[in-house]
Amino acid sequence: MKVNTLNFSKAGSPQEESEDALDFNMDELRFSICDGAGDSIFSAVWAQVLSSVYVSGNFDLTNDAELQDYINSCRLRWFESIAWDSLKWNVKKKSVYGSYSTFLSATLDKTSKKVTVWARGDACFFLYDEDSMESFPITDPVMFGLHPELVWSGYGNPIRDKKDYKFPEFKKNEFDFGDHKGILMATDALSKYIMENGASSVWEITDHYSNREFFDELRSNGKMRNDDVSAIIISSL
Amino acid sequence: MPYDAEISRRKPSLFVFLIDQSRSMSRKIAGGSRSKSQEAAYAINKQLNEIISRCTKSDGVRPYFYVGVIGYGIKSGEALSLIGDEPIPINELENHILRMETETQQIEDEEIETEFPIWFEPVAAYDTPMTKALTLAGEWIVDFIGKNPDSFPPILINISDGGATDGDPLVPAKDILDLETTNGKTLIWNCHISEKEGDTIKFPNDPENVGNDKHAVSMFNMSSQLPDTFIAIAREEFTDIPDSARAYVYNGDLDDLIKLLDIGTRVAYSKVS
Repeated sequence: MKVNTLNFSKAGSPQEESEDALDFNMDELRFSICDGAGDSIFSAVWAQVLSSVYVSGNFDLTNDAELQDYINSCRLRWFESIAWDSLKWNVKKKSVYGSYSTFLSATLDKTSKKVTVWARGDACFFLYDEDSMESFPITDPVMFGLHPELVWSGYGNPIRDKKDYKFPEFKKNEFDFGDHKGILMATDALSKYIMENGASSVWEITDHYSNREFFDELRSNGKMRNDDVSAIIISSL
Repeated sequence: MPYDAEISRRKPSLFVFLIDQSRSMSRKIAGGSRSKSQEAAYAINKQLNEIISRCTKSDGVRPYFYVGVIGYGIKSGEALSLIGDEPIPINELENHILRMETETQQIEDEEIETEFPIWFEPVAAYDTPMTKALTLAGEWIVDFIGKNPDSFPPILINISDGGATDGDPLVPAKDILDLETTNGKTLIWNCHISEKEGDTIKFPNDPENVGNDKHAVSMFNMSSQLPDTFIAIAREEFTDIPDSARAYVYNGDLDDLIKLLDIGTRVAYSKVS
């Protein structure tokens, strides 16, 4: 099994401004990719926490207790990673509303050749072959909208601990990956591009995964929306 | 024209605010307890806060917008830039804060105190040189479009109780309405506040329907026809917005004024990349 990743900020923006995050755990074959929402603040931190905590744990998100454990662990880590007292007035004012991110994970079981996928929002999982692919949770490019479902960090300082938190719901799906060429997980702009251009575009992406200029050109010429792009490509299944 | 250009640091857009600071602004706004100048200053301070908030990231404020503010009537016959000499990037706005106030913010059932910057104090001084203000705004917009020909079109928002004292404001307003980027024509929004009790007229599409204020038709005529994307947002806030509505509100209270500023700027926020 071979894993390649990409994470490029918007065309024209420095790399450190990407609000996408990804992580994986090869021992446990857990993979996660999250897209921090540009409207909120500290979203990149939140997206990274969601990915990292997921791949380092063993959470069944259909189980209420495990879901709460996962989200509470993420919230605590997010909250503790921000130096609240040193924030400027405008950052402080905005950060109290918390951060938002989409979430996508895939956990592979090599024995059964099954992959379990969890999703909230519009980052997509693709199972692909030479000339075909299937996707989840979005299956048609017209379904990408302005307001995807998101995972919320809860409020920031000073009211974090005073609020009840409504835990998010995740969509789940399972796929047999045994006879397929590969898996690709991508945030929304890249997912939409792939759906609009068909299975051949997956191979285009896998050929250029380390080439930022390739993605900058797609985004600059309008073939892909100018957003952060990130992906995890799992091949040689 | 689509009004759909991406707004980014490479392709910023421009907001220009015009504030009437004439003597008549000292009178109480219709339906309110404070003067028109107080309400106008509050609304502009609040809107600048909102623009900064939209552009705030964890590492600070990003210059997605340029902002210029022109006051007219603070000195006899003069229209002056109130922040620097010309529009400045939004991230430089904090260098022009006059003072900070503390305000209470309600989040669900919690009240928290936050800081609220003040850039402008209420002023109600002399006459109403709106024509001069629009002429200066036009120069700024020409310059901006020259440097940013493909940007999301500039948006000019004028808060006034009407009645220019220095000629016909429609002349420079029409020149501004003809200025365009490749993404659409410049938009002029007019919030015509008044001390007269009576109905508020919101986004009319016919000069016959703007009431009997002697300056209302002129203000209507210098207001842009709302593009479709803006109409959709206006209809979220106000009922009965007609097709071909103009970006004009007459006799609005503070709430209407704030909503107009919000509608006038929200489409641009959604294009920030």
